[in-house]
Amino acid sequence: MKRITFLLSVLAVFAVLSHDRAALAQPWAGINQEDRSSEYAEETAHVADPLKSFNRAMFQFNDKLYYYVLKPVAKGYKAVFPEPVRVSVRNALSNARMPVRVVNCVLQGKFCHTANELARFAVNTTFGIAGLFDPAKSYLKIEKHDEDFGQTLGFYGMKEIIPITWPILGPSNVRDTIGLAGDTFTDPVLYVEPIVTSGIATLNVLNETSLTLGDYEKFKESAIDPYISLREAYSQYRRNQIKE
Amino acid sequence: MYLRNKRQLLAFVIIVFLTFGWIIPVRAGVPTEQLKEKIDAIRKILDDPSLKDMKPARMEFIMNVIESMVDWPEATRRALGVHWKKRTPQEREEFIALFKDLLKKTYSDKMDLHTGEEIVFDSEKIDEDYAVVKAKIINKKKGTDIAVDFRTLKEGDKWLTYDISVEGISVLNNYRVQFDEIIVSSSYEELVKKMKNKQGIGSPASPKTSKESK
Repeated sequence: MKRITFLLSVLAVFAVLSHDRAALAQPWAGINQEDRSSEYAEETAHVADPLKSFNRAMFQFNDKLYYYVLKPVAKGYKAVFPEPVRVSVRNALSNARMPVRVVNCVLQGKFCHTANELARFAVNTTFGIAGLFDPAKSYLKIEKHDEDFGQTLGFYGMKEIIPITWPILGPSNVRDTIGLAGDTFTDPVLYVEPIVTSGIATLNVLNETSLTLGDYEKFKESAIDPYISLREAYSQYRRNQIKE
Repeated sequence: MYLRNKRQLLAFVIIVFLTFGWIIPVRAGVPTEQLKEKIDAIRKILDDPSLKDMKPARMEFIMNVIESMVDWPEATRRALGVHWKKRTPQEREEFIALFKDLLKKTYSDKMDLHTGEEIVFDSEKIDEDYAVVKAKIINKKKGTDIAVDFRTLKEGDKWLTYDISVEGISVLNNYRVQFDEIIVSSSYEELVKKMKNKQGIGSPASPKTSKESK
């Protein structure tokens, strides 16, 4: 009787210990050391932005463009087309960009993404009616992995170098601008007639704006210096995308 | 004889349970629970149709919840970065209050825009007195999901948030760069002036903001 009790206690202790370890074995990395350190107090937050006056001017231009052109047109577009339709348009345009994602997946050696992307494309193009719906995501739970040439460059160690804000296109940097140029070789949209290309590009911008009306305004309200806020948000977002 | 069998059965059950207990998924920990509580409180108010006409009261309630969720001195200290050291205690108090007002107003407005979305808590990681809670904001209609991380610090028995990351974009870091820029290119006083100016703009109950949702 005593032996059984002893054995039980040993097992209990063992089980409890392994329970704790399993609980702590999370799939993602632990808490950033930065949180603990006094880095915030010691290191400057300064970011090199030699083209700042140009960038700020472009930001102002884009800001005016949004309020005077993009937003009014998008509101009209939104009034005509209900949300499900616009979500479908988004899916179709995203589906068409599959080659960009796949090529860059391959370049980064992320083969599992490639298989998924091909599967998504096949499913969405057939059962999703040329990508208007996204059954691959809703029913098959295959997540889209967003890759582009800018991310590929970043993956291989290319730094942002300096931030650049382009008119219409918005915040970017040297690396991502080269990335955009690279994407033109893999984006099927650019292999059609120029007028169709610009039509699709315009539709994309219009559609996205209609689906996110209010976001830019909210964002501006939250910032003391919207240009800096956007520049940093873009930079962090890209860094996060490259890491994934 | 009968007793022995019962005991053996009990022993067997206990051994099985304890040995395989580690396979059972871990329940949400304390930081997640506390966060959930606050966010659920906000959601309840937002989703309650009978309260739709009580915008100012609603906003105030939400702002109070946000206030209780955040570690304001910690967040402000980090947001000012290297410039915190040079500030006098009065300046620090003042800035904490300004930062608090800015964030409360910004985030109570953001809450409104997000009605119809769902927040799902994924996992958490605790490292002594620091914890990161990972969540997702899911919009079934638009088919989007946004990753949100809450970085928290333990104060007593409460886990208070000092930073939120949305898709990898840390709110704290974003303000840190903005504040640094303004302090370096003009002055700390200029930053304070800008913060105060902002308080006058865009009241929380502005009808324009509610029309923008959807």
